[in-house]
Amino acid sequence: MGSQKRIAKELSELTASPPDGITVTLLDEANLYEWKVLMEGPEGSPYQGGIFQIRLVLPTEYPFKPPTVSFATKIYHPNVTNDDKGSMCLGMLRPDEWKPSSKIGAVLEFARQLLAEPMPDDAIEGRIAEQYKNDNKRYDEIAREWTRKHANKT
Amino acid sequence: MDFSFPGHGYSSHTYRSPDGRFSFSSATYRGSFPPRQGGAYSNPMVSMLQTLQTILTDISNPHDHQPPDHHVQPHGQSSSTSPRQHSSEQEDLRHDEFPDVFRHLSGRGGPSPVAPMGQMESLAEYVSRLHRRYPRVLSRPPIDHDIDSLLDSVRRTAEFPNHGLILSALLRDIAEMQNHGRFGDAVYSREALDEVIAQLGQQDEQRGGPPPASPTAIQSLPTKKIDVHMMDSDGKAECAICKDQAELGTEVTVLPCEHWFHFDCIEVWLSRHDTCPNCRQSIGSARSFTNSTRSPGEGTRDHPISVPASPEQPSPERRRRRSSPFSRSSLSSRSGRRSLSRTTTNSPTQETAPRSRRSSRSEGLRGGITGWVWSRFGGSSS
Repeated sequence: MGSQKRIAKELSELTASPPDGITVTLLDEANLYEWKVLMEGPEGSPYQGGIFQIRLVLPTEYPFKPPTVSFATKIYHPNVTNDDKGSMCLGMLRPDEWKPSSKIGAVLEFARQLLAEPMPDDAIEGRIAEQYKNDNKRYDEIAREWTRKHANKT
Repeated sequence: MDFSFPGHGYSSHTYRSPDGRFSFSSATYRGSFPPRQGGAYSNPMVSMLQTLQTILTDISNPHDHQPPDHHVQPHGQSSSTSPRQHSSEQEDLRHDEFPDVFRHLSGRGGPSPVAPMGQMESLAEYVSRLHRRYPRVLSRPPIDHDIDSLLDSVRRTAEFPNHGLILSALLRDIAEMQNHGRFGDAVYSREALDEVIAQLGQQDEQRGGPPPASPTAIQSLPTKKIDVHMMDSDGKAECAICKDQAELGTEVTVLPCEHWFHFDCIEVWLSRHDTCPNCRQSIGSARSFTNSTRSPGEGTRDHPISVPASPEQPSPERRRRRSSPFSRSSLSSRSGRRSLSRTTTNSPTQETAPRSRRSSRSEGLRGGITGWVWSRFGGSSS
């Protein structure tokens, strides 16, 4: 299947020159379709100092279908589901917005950008989004607290 | 897995959607389970699961080669020779209280249809244990594509005939699941089945996405050969879909927005969504680019591109070179038609590197028995 070639190519590119604060590996080296991504919390965000583990899953139809991005590390963020799945809601990954020319590196950089600047109007966790807009200080505290508690690099 | 026990009122069915993207199984127990009389259950699934658990437990403890303590129940012979012991074992296996290990293998129950690979880890683990346990059988390099011979040898070599039977069924199941790219679609409860059906409803291919382009519109797209103007400052040109380098002189398909791709790449995308993979413009919305007086498929004639380094040599009977890894065999009729109105060059610049179905890199990433299972039954189909 053609997708494997492109995925292998993207993997080697991302391994050779990783984007800022992003490290990619395969979850299982026999399986190109599941990636383990380590993402450093962007500086200046309440996630700073944390290392977040992300699972990136590519469909076999990639690049004709978008990958999915989910946080294995708990994170307090308006655009990440606050459950055991930790699904991240990325606009560019939605079926009506996905373009096969988008690369995994771009997806991950976009995801990290979303950590720096949440999009409360496109939120999946409405309550956190409300707090982000109306009580940003409290949001910041909780997000920091969660980062310290769950995304602590050791 | 085909557990068929006609005498026991048990049947198992697998349903598959016509396009092969989904499959799920249902198991039906006909008749009523007798009240526990001497503990002898006639549910064949229970003894089957018990046996499977025994095998897997056995395999998980490679240093313990003792035969399992409890009696292995042959299928369809539930009137046990040791009913009392049987009873106590099955105490915990009643109804849908299946052993954890089996739930682990079969449980589609997980709510995440987008992450089917999670199941593979455990399957791979079991396979690798099988591999350690039955090295002679499983390490034999597969020569042909006949899994039945492998299964037969598993059946013959396993210490216990039942083990062999179930192991082969398990392997077949792995093969089956791998063939369809889904893992753990078997469901063993009404709730799980409902959940799967609900998920299928949400997985509609076209959900939210733009509608596909018409096949005619796709076939009518003009083509041209890569020229120096299409290359970037580094002298490179890349198809944005497969991300492969397109060499000078390679014939590519041009969209109304002037973005170009390998035909085989863009065809797959446009037949899903009518948008340019780069700028999202529809190919149906800007027809002015294509000359209406031109019949379909003559793009090269209407847009002649002179490539100084590679003079054209007419060779109409030569079929178009496969220029994309996303080729589909179903395109043959199109290729035939289009080749009449095309010329191709024999220049070396058009040569593309020989392609293998899987890159050497991805080959190298897969090793051992799981790699073998994967490469045989996994993503290598195209």
